[in-house]
Amino acid sequence: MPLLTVNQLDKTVDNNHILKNIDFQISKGEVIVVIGPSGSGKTTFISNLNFLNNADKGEMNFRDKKIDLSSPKKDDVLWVRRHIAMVFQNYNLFKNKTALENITEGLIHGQGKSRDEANQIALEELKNVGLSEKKDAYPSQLSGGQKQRIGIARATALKPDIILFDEPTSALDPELVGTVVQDMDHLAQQGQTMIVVTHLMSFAKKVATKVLFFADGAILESGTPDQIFNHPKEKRTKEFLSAIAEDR
Amino acid sequence: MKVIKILAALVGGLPNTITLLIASFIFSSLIGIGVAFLSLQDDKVGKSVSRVYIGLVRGTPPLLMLLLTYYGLPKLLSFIGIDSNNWAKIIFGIFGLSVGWGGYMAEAFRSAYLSVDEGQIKAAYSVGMTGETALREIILPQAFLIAIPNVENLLIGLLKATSLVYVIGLADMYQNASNLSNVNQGVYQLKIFIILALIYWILASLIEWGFRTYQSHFAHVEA
Amino acid sequence: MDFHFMIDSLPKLISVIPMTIYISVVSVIVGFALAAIIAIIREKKIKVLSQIFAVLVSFVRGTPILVQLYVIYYGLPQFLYYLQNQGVNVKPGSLPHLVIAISAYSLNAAANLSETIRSAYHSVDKDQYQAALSVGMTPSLSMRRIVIPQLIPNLIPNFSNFFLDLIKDTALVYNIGIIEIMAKSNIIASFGFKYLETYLDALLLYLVICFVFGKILSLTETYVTRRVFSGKTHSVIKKTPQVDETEAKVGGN
Repeated sequence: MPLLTVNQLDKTVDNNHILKNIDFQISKGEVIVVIGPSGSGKTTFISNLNFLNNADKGEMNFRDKKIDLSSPKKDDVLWVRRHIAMVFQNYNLFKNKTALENITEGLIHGQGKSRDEANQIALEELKNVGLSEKKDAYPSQLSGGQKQRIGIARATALKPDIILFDEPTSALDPELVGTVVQDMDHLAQQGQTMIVVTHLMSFAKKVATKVLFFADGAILESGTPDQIFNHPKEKRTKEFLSAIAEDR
Repeated sequence: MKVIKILAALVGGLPNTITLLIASFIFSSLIGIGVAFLSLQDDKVGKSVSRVYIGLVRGTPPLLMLLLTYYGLPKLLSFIGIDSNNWAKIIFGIFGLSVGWGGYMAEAFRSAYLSVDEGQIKAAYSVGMTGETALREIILPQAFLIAIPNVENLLIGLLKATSLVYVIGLADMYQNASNLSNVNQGVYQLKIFIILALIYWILASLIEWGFRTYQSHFAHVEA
Repeated sequence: MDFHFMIDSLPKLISVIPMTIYISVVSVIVGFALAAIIAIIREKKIKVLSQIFAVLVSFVRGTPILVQLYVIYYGLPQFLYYLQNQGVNVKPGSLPHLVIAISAYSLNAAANLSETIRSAYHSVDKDQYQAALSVGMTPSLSMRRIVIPQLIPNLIPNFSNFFLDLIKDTALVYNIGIIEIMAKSNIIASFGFKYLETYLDALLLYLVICFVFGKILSLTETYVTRRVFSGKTHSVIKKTPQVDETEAKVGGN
């Protein structure tokens, strides 16, 4: 039984049909990687999953609960966000909070945990990404790689059913990408359900259970990494793959 | 009292208001450019002078600026042997407003210049432009665009400040309204000032519209 | 120029500084409270109200404060008469000039500061709000804990500029019979036509007042910016040995 199912997700903005009746599903433990050209709607797609973006039409079935994607109830939205977390391309750490506080904010004010419990969880998470000594540092004092790893810690601390990654390494220097990828690989090994939008084909090949090729607002092709990368069926897919000659 | 009558009386002061506005805008811009230029040089004296000037102006009520100009300028001029007793009051009005707003203009130009992306300057040099050419072709045009919103605000501020010239006895729109109101003790006073306010508002909106239209021509230049 | 006169007149002018400051401070506080409400209404795009306020703000910002002063001076009593006719318990008879002045300056402040607040609000990265939502915080908590703290450092410089302008604008209030610096200057100057001297004295006082308030606000800005974005309340230059060691080990990353 899939953990999350999306039916007929559709969105148009200013005559641009950004998302064309998308059907999607993901089961527990799956790591689905979404690839595709810029402007294809990948980011809009996953931001709909935690309602940071709203759709014109569509239905979500999450943990056996049906939610209308075009006009969801406020309580449903909050409930989903407490179970589906997000890691952003530009980290988006709270600039006015320390590293530790960035993690506890969601625990205390989103999930309603006590400050003590939240601190405990947060310290644990920081230890896992090896940044314990930076717990009182503010984002302005951290490097890009550090910020992103704390961004991931902020998401994992919520113990979410699914973590959405929106191009998590695109804003990082190449030599920092490796550490973040390592963290993500780690999570996948531990069975975390993940949906990852990325340009990192190496990550997709190694960690993904399924790869989706997104183009012009629709899922053009889907399959295992081997199927997509080595035996792409669609012309568009082939074009895209050969255009990304370099494996970043 | 009929609205038309009020309008006619007020509009009589419009020429002075507009003259003050345009003349002061031109002169204050010139002063502003000069002072901004001075403040950006490596010259310590120039920097201090410009800083003192800007600081002074920012702490002085426009009303006082006009009064000090009216009473002080003749004295200063008499030291260099110029007799300003017969000068039209509007000259003092323009002078006071220009000197006053020059400080704000200088700030606007200065900060716009400093806001131009450093990368632009580096790129200009890297393709072989001289300092002067880079300034002319790349930096100043961009600084100009950056300054426009601030200049627009300052121009509208200047429009509002013209109402203060009553204090040196100059007949602009406000002065006309004030006279009209004094002559007609009674109910019309509110009407008079509301109509006056509406005229200023229309002028301010025209300025805003003008700037918006002008700026839309440059929308393609991502400032 | 009569320097003696200038020195003698100073104490008399200084004695009315409290009035100048009183009007400025009260007006800016009332104005700011109203401005916050207006800004919220306009940003939430509440139907009808936000359009009305958009027009009112544009009107107040596009008309001279002197004219506004007279509109309130002649208009407020009439408004109160109207309210009285509707049965509201007010006494329009003797409306203190101070109330009129503060009303006019407060409304002016409300209009101008609402724009200041809005631009500070827009200066905060939209992503910060999105990130707060993404960890499950309600919209209002997200605003309160993440967005608003970050807009305050941006608000202060523009607030400061406006406040100083307000102080200078109080120089007009003598027109409706309130004795502050300009009024006193005119009174003193008329004793012997020493206009230039008195006005120079007045200039000195305004410069000092603006400098002091400007400095206070500038220091506040530095303090608040540091506090919000780095948790420090004063600049700390000491280095703790642990931090250095760890930096060396992890390769400064």
